[in-house]
Amino acid sequence: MRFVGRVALILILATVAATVHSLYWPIYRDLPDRQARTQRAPVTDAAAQDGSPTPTGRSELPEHYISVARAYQFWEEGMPFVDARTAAERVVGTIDGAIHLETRNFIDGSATRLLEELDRAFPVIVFCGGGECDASENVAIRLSGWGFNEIYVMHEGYDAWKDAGYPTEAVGGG
Amino acid sequence: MTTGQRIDTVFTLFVRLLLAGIFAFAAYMKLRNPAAAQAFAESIQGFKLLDPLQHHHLTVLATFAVPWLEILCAAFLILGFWTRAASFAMLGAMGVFIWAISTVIERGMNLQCGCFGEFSFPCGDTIGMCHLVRNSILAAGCLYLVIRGGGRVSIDRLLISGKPKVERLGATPTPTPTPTPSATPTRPVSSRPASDDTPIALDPVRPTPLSSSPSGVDAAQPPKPRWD
Repeated sequence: MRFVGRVALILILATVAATVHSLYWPIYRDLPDRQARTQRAPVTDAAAQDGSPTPTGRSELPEHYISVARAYQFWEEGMPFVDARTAAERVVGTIDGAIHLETRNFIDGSATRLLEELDRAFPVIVFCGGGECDASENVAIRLSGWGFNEIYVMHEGYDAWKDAGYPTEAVGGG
Repeated sequence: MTTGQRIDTVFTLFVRLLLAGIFAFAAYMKLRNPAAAQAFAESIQGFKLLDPLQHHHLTVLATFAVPWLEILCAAFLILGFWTRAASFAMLGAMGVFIWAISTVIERGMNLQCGCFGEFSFPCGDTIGMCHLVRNSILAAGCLYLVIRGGGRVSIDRLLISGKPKVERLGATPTPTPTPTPSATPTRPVSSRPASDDTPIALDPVRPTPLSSSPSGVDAAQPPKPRWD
């Protein structure tokens, strides 16, 4: 009985500590959740006028999700693309000119140099492998924390981009 | 203390400190900054065991409860305090991790573990059999400590063996009722099993120095320490 009490006490202590800790460090579910809780106004005039999707609100498909065709329009306008896949996933190639940024780059601080080169006034498009890949959403949350207001996720992923015949490049240039 | 007991003591201490170090490192990698905590939450979401819209609060709780459990258990294991309870708590957590990893492998999902933050040695980034084996080894270590306890170098041992410790120093023990020598078979001292968390005490059937000694035991001689 004493053993069970000790185990229970350890679990209760961990739960209390976790609850208190979670009050100081917010955990965001996804990009709209982060934007709603930080009360950022991401709608740009241009996006509102041309009817393009905006990163606010929720529907069946989050409104910051864009199709491959819409992403290609951004690509032609010269907007930056962020590849959120791991190095192992990128060996098949990437979108021409895409920047490689993973979640880990934000944790160890190596993302700082790349992000300082990007202009936060322009939209940024994030993608990963598609399907059940969450990496692009996770990177989008962090980009939002870096002051990027207009972030889109190409949810169909790199495979759909490649299948559509849009420009790609081998990893490492070329 | 025999050589076997020394080896056992050192091994138990080694297992305790090794597990404590691993758990403390895992907790540090998950909670070293808010971005690391967010990444761990995303790893939990990636398992897709909970609906992110309806059960986000559970994801948040798990994000912080797992590393805090690791911190607490690491502290308990280092001190050797409530060793069995702390090991059992971590054993339960390991069971949950092993089950979750098994479901990921079964579903053929391609996601990162997040067990040690972005640190993935010796297993790769993607969850696979290596993660299952690694967690099973950790679970085996926890099970060993649940069965064996904290060992001789632990607060648990100090708390349990406080009174008999005087006896090991050679002081006169408390008198016990003396049985009739003819009716009581003498038992070899070495036949009693040594257990880490069991207090060392005089054999109750052994005649004590303060008793009248019909069997001719010299009352001036203190009893010999049994194991030291």
